[in-house]
Amino acid sequence: MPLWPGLQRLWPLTIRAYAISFIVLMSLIFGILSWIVEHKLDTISATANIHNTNAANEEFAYVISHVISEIKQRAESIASQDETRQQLVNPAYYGYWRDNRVRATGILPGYVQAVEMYTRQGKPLAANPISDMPTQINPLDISSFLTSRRGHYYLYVFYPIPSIEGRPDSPLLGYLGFKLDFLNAVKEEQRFSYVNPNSIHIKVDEREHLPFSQLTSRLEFTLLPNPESTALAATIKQLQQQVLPVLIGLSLLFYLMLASLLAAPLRRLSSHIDALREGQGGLLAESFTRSLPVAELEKVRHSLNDYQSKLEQMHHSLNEKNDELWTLAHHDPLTGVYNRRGFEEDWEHVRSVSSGHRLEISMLLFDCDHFKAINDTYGHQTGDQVIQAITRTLQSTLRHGDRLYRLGGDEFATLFLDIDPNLALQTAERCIEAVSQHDFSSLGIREPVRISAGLAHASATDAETLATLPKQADMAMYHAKRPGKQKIAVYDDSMINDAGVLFSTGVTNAVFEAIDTGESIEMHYQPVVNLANGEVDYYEALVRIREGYELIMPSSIFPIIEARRLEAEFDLAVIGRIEKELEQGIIPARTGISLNVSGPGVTNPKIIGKLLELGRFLDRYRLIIEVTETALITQLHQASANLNKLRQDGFKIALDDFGSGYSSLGYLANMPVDIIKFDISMVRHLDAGGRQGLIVENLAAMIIKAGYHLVAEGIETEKTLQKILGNGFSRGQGYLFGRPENTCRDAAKFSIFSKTR
Amino acid sequence: MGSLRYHARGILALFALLLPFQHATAETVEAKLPTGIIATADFRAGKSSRPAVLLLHGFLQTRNAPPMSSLANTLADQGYTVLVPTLTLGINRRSKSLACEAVHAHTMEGDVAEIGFWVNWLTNKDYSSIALVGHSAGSGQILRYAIQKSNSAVKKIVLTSLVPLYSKPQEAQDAAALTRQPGSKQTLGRFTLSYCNNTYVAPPAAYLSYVANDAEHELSLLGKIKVPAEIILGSADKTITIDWPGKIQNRGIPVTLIDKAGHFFDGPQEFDLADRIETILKTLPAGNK
Repeated sequence: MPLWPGLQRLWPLTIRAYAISFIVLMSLIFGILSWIVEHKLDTISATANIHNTNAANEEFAYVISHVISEIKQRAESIASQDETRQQLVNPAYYGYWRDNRVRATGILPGYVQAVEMYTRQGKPLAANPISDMPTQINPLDISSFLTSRRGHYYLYVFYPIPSIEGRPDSPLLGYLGFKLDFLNAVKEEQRFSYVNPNSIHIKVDEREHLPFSQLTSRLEFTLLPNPESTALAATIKQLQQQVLPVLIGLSLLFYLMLASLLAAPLRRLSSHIDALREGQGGLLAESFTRSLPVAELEKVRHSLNDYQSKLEQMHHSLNEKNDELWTLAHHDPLTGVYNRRGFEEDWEHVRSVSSGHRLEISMLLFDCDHFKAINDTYGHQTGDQVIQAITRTLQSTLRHGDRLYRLGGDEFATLFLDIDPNLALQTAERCIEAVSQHDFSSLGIREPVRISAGLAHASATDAETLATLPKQADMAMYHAKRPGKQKIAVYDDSMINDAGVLFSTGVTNAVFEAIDTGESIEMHYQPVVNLANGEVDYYEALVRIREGYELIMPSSIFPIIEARRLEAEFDLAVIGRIEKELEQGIIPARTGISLNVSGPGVTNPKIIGKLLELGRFLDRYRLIIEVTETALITQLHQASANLNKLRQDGFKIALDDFGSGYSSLGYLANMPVDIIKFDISMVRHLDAGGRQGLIVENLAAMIIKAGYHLVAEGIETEKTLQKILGNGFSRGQGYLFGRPENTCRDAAKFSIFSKTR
Repeated sequence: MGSLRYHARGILALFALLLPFQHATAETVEAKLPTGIIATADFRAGKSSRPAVLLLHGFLQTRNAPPMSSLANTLADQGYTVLVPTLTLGINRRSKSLACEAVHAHTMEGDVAEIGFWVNWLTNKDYSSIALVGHSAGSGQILRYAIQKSNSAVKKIVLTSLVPLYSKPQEAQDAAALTRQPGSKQTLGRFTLSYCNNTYVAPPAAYLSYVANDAEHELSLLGKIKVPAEIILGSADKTITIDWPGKIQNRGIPVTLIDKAGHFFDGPQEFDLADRIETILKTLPAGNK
């Protein structure tokens, strides 16, 4: 794990980075070791320097004493010569002796610059001593001294000459004085081991006579390089210089080895794995065949190849399963034709491949009329057989190659590509005809089975129309299913007005929002009057959706609800709203509320549960559940059980819109209802009189006699009211009594009723 | 007779070897010359029955130079009083031979005076019978002493390897010319004298004092000797001409020619020399009064 966040982006490191790090580390260690060796050498050198300095001081002290000793020895030799002594007796030819004879003896070394003789009193024999020799010496102190002239150092040495040769105790005859080139003297007399003779410097001023005894205190010199230290340092330096290229070479070799033996093979493996990954389902045809130079990596390669092989086998297996699954996913198990998923994929494919081409596309939708009723009447098994029969009929009628899709339930579709719209229409008509001609009696079905078809055309160049083709076909089919219409309808733009609401995005959104929040739901209440006393018996709760200043009416709401199969969700939202209003006491006391529950809602346990919760208001209100006969017929058994449960709790069940559908009396007897609400069409028949009026009168009488409460809807005139009253209806509802409003009107306000009485 | 002499000489030599220290009791005497220079000499007193002998070294040598040094020992061992001075050549207590290149301010006259000083020194010690023995240039100096003035105590002079000092006439003329110039006393010249071939450094006058001119002059001096004299020469001495012994004899001076002897009588001839001198000395009266 990286030690600090900055390294996180570099983490993990590459082999090259590790190799370079290792090389850097080695270089660092080499550098530190070199530094330590240098440091040790410096320490040794410093110690040696101290030792050598002491030795040099001793060496120099020895040298200068040796020089003095040497010159005195030579002086003694000169002094012992008769000629020398003769000068002190008869200095007449002293100059010749000084300038010639004393040198000719060969006794004096070359560094003696000048010789002069002095009398016992210290006076020079020569009137003018040569070469800066003193003009007077002190017989009491003839010690040596040093002077400096023009950057040269000169040592003056004096030697007493006894009167008797070899007898120093004999009276003095005079003195010999020597002037030595000091540096030449020390160089000549001694081969230095420590002192660098060329570096000797003596701090003495010009003309100053530095006593010889103080010479060492004024001495400065540097040391000769220590041969051992120098040799050792040179050897170590040489060793470092030899080791360094070897180290560099080894590092390079190490780096290249890592790069070629590990990094490169790992990169190749990684690339291979990347290629496998990027293949995304399509595996590489070839495995990693090139052998690798490292055993472990070679093992990884084999493992990878084995894994790849196994993956490939699995891939094949998965492909087969996928094909199987695709077939399952795209085909309807009941009929064997393509299902909705197959349709949607094919439709998308058609759209994508045909886009921009001059291609005529037709979409044909089929729907079995009243299939739910058939299903519920004859059972699901029979329903399934009907569907299978319709499928076979359609497949045999469609052209070879035309795909038939079962979109769900009793809904089918097919697509026609690049055919004349008329041919498509003819094909559709043949299909309808073929189904109508099919003999379903073998399935025990007595009623004729019909299908409706909606057809829509579009050109592939018209992308906008193409996108809405399914909607158009759907609208055409709804159009075809309307009562009294042809069983086949071809879409035209006029249909859009009829279905405008259904496909209005704004309304749809409002409906969805109402379901989600319930807040925009606004309940309007229409009174249902007790025709015995003119009092409001209860109010039918009618749903609206508030969108700004406008109200969305049920005629716009329910097509969307039904198209989206949102009946149960919407019922829940409405019940929740009513519950709130009951809690708020909006509903006048001693009245009641009737709620409309959809077909799916009646069989939905959640809704039933919610309704049962409303039972807590039964002590204050009458609660009536209104259901349509279609809703009851669809799942009669479950619906009956749920409604009976509600009835047991005190709810009343009203059959709504009786007379608008099948209005089967056979069904009615089995339905768990307490109240029958005659549809407005029935009331109008009653109002109109004639045969239909008579049938309704008798039907009403029969129902009343059977013990049901009968409610007349759509009472708009007093004449109608009179008719209703005359036929024994116990409740009435209609504009005559009051329009649906967002408040509950009081019963006392129904003056029109009092007139009819 | 001859073999007996050699036999006796051999015994003498053996004796000399066995008693090497007898002559080591020499006394160095110092004496201040009238010039102020201190002169030294080895003095060994001998038997009073024997004459005293003064031995003088050759050119620029000291008393330690052969053959006089060994001869002195031999004679001293034989009981002779021996005085071996070193000519000062102007140097106090001179103890070493003087190089040709040294300044030679000394003169022949000075040297002869020193001989006279030492002869007087002996006579002052009551030696009445003195023999003067010189070698080479020393012989010439004794010759000159014997001519100039004589001390009655000097009974004999023996001049070994007498030979005139070699010089170059031209140089002598040049030196003579130099002496006539003012301040010539301080002037030094480089001359040829004896074996100092153009290396003899001296004031011209001092140089000229030694230039004895030629052999004839030397021979003429021999004729002026006032004391008995004898010349001993080596037959193999290359510094003398073959006719030199004859020329000397012609001047009436007896010459002993030692066979095979060189200029320094080195080798066995050293004994011949000693024998001859001893023979001569034996003829002299007793040394001490």
